[in-house]
Amino acid sequence: MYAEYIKLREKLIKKIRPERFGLPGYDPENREKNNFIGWLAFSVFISLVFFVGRYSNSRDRLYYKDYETGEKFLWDGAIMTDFADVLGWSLAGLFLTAAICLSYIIIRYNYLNKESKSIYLLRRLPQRGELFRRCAAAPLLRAAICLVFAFVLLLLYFAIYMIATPDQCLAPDQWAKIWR
Amino acid sequence: MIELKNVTKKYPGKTALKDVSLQLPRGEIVGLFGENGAGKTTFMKSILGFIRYDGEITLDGEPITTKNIAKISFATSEHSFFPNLSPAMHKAFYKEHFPTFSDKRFDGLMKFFELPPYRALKNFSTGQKNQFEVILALSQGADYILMDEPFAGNDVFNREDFYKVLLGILEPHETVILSTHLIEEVSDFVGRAILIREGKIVGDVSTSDLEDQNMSLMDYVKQTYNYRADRVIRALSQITDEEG
Repeated sequence: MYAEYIKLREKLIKKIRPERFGLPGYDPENREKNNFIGWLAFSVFISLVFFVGRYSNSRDRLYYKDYETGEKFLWDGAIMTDFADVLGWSLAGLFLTAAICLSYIIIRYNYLNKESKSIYLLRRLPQRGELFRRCAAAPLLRAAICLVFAFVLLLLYFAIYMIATPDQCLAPDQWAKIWR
Repeated sequence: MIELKNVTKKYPGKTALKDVSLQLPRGEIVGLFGENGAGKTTFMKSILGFIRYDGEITLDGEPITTKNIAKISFATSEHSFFPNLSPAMHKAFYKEHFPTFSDKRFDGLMKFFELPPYRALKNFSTGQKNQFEVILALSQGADYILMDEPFAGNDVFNREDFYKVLLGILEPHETVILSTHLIEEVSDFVGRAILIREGKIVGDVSTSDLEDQNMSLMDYVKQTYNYRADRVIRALSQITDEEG
């Protein structure tokens, strides 16, 4: 199984040739990649903590506690805070990480003017868009990964909200309200 | 042929090229001479499309775009290679992007200059970096080879060797446009001299015409620039008189 995975990976690498999307001899590539993974993991973690905290608080407010029995009961006519309000800034870390990733397009472009002017070589290559591709591919891919994570988390949070909230407390049009 | 028609380049507070019009046919070695800031680098960068300009520059009658840019190569004292890559890696990169890249010329010149093929260029001496920059420009398979002060930092023997190699390897269709301060040094190698001053072409002559007139290139340059031979003597006598 592992051998097959390695074989497939090698085949894909050969086909895609990822080196075509990077800057030749770009030293900070690995550091950038590791920073990205770190920032992404941190943003996801913060997002989860933030959302779960806010959701728990909102959900708790639907109930009152009978201090004699210790049981929880729904308030009459209690309505859950809208999903959009619970969500709040939960995904902001991921958007910020995406923006930081995009700023690396400029950092990479400026790198081509350091030590030597390799920008001159990349600017006079006969392949159209080569310079942009090499400067922007990795930052754009990373920014896209952030947005995908943000979307997946949004779906996850929405599912949690819809499943864990008592039906009678749900206000209508929750999904639509996110985009308003 | 590269043709410039009324090319003007203005920077804030300075005009780097003023209404430059000239033709650079194939098969010439052209010397581009001028003092610092005269517009030599701007001239080359305009041809390569690195900067915006007013006017028109064509290559074999067509505007210079990604379609025909491979016909022009460029060597600069600022160096346009990737410092973390080795010559061997550059060879692979050039071969991938320039179909006319000449392995034979690259390998031959690498051997001639005794450059290590697998060491990162950032570890090369300035002279070696210059040599490699020029090797790349010559091996690209371009018809027009632009060189902007390519030997700044090389010793005289090195440069001398290089000129000889250059003359030996160039094909009849290849044109070299060499921007340099070293007028006397290249006077035997260039077939045409273009003088640029404050962004204007102030002289354009073939060395064979100069020979017919029994005039050296240096004399032509001095004449064109209105060089006053007595300037130094006057200045010295003035200084010594004042001190006396």
